[in-house]
Amino acid sequence: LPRREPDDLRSLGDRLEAARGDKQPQQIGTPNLGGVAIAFRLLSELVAAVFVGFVLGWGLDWAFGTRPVFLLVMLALGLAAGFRNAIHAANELNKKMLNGEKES
Amino acid sequence: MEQFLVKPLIPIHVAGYDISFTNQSLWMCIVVGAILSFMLIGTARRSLVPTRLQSMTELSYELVEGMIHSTAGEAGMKFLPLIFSIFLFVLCSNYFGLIPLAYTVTSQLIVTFALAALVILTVIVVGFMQHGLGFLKLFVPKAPLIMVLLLMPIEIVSFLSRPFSLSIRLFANMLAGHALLKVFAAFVVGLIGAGGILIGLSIAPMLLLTGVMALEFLIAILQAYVFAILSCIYLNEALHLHDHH
Repeated sequence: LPRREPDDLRSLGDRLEAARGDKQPQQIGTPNLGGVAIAFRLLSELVAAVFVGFVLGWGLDWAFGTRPVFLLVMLALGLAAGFRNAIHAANELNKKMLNGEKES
Repeated sequence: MEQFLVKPLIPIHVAGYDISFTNQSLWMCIVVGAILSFMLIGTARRSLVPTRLQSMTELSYELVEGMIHSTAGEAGMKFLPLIFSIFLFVLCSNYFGLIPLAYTVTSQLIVTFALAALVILTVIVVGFMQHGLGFLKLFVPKAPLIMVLLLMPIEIVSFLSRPFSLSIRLFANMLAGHALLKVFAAFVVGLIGAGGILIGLSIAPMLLLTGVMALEFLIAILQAYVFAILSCIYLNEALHLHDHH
């Protein structure tokens, strides 16, 4: 293959520009999360925390033979953690959306 | 459902453990092989004016690079290989699962959980390496002492729930999507099998099936993206603790 000269590239660039016209090149960026995806994200945060609380409580009760004391306590903690996670995630998404509007 | 069954292809038993080579393992190998050849062939020439394939590899690299840079900053760049590998593996597994008769690796909870556990273990190791015991400050919110005592258990449970929420989200999306495809396909077959005027009716679930298939293509890349970006966010917390709030 013959070595490409810079002039060659420049003319290629010019031709690309001409072919592109006024169309802006597509920006690679964050794909817009659909409504379902947001709902799924929040739901899974909530469910996972409750699940972890349940498993931890069950395990502690199994270890100390105190069922259902730890189960109830850890379930409540899991629920609280789930809401904390969901609220944090929602705030993050809110912030991202507001920023996106400012940029455009 | 038959499409989610793990079938041993080459039975191997070692010391009472079943470590057979299954259809699951086969599709993992196919996915990894496809990614490897995609990257190796795509970057073989490294010409200044890229071919289509080289463009694709560069675009996927730039997507992940931008994602890490915007969430974890310069310090996060050394985790690019990890995040890039996870992103490509999840993405290709999701897409390969859409091929008829293929096996969706990410529709098994244990696979997604292994990936999530890898991310969280990295976060814990990096956190302790960067901050020593100071990493535990992650669990101490900025609040009055009484509130801290109340909130600390909640923060700990919330941290522990991360690998589960990461893995359950990906797994449930893949499982639900494929189950939905199966149900609609079964409607079509059932209506055609019933004969008579019902054959004409089978066009309705057929159209829905087409729509769901298009949605699945979107979900496949979306879930890979969400998995990767959440990994970045968790890594960022390990690197910077509360600084970037």
